[in-house]
Amino acid sequence: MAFQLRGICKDKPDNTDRIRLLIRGPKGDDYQVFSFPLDYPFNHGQIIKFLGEQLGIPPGELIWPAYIKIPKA
Amino acid sequence: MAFGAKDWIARTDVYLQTLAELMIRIKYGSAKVASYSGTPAANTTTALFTISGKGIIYGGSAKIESTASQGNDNLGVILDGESLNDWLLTWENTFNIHMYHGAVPLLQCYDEVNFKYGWSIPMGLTFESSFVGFYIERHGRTPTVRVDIVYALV
Repeated sequence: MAFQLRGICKDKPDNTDRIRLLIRGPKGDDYQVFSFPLDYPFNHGQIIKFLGEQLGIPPGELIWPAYIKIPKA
Repeated sequence: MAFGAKDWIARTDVYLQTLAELMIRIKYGSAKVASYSGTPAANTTTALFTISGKGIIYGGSAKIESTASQGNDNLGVILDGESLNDWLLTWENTFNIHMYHGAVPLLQCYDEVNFKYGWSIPMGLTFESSFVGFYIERHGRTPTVRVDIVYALV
């Protein structure tokens, strides 16, 4: 099983906007969260590149399900 | 004559292990909280939080505090692009829509003296692609809104 992006959440705790990525690891029960401020440059390619560097995997090995969309600003 | 499972087929033989119990539980994934704390703009629909993914809602609460009535406002959720509730606060109060099988979110507090309002989100709502919370302000004011929703993404 490969690394998978399982969700993207945009919310505003403590009056501060943020975006979080939820990643599920190869074992299937190991989750990681990456959190960013809203003004962080954020498109599909940048996310793939960032996660590839963080997880130590080639970009093509990250599974991004089609139903997961980047929330609008 | 040989019998039994083939060697290359892995299997779990519970009887050969000293297990005190075997637990079967539903796994939904890692629990998270989506929050909003701020003052939505007047006469505007504000997206409080957006979750893109597949998962379940464990529950949640919301409160609004204002200096005057917010009775014509509403707090709503959109699951997979479908809005679940466009009922005004005052409708939910007038017709007692606060039970578990009522509109979502459920009205829990409606105080037109101190201008405090509260909702809850029931457990068990599932979504296949998205879950969005929004607030519609109709009185030209900027109430203070706080929302916390506990959810898990599979």
